[in-house]
Amino acid sequence: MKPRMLEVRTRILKENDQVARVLRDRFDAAGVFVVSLVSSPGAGKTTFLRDTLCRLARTHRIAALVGDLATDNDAARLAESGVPVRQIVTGTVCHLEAKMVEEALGHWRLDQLDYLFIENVGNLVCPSSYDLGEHLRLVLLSTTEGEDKPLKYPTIFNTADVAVVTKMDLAEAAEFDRAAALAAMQQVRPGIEVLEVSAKKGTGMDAWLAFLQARAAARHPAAAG
Amino acid sequence: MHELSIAQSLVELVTERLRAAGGARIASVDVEVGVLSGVVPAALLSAFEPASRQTPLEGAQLRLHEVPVKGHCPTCGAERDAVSVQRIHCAVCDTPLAAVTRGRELDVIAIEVIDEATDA
Repeated sequence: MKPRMLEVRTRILKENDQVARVLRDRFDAAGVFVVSLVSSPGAGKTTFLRDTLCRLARTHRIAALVGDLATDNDAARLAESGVPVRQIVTGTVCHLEAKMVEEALGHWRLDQLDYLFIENVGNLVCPSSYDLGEHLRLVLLSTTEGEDKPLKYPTIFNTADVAVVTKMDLAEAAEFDRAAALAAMQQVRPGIEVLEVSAKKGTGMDAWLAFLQARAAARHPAAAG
Repeated sequence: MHELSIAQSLVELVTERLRAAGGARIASVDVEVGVLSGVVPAALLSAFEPASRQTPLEGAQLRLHEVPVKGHCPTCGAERDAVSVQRIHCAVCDTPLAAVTRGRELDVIAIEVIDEATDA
């Protein structure tokens, strides 16, 4: 018998997309603003996030989920901030998926949170394919990595909503070409907002927190404060 | 490398559609892969073979169709190709594209269904 051709037109990751949609609805209903962080390993995600948690925890209710291949080192570092942190051990999986986030959340009372941060596995390729239900996807680039990273990994930068350049205190020593890095980011994601920080010196963090709170207020006007 | 888990999702999705269509096996699958999908076509092709083993997709041909980036050009007032994946600017006038409209696809577009299991 002759094979028959059937049109399908379906996203391969439709299951992930569905779970992500349900999560986003849940976050919106609870009025919690959700930020995911992606970067290569060693770009300073955990330090940046720990700093963010410490500062934001003074005035807001926050929590964090951390994806890691095998260890709970990052979760332990984040827990120093005093904020509730849950670990997602991904094992051999190089990225977080929406269902891992759903499972890790369990019965957490989301309506008692203002912000939830999700630290993805350090990887500039795989996380770009998976919607986690977040409101803001933040990509980090450190000054020690080289200014052409956005050109080498255009997809992750293109899917991000905001870019943060970390380790600005090392920019000079690393001979970081700031103009080239900014141009590369604008090329792969025209119009992307770029913030520059040094967690070590504390510079740029106020601007980042102001940006974050403005985004959260725009998403959930009733919950702003 | 997340292409193996993508390939597994692909096999599950196609198997589901095959059952719904009342078919026995799959002869071929057509998939659109956007250059901004985060998936490397060659890696997906090599992951498909192990992922499809002992499923109705075993031995099926996987055809990948690469989808270039397109977006809305505010200067041209039209959907335009991007210069490249590294430069999301209008290929005609080099204005930065305002919104990406194509290039993120990771879609099954068609499957070829064999209705009766034939003896090998």
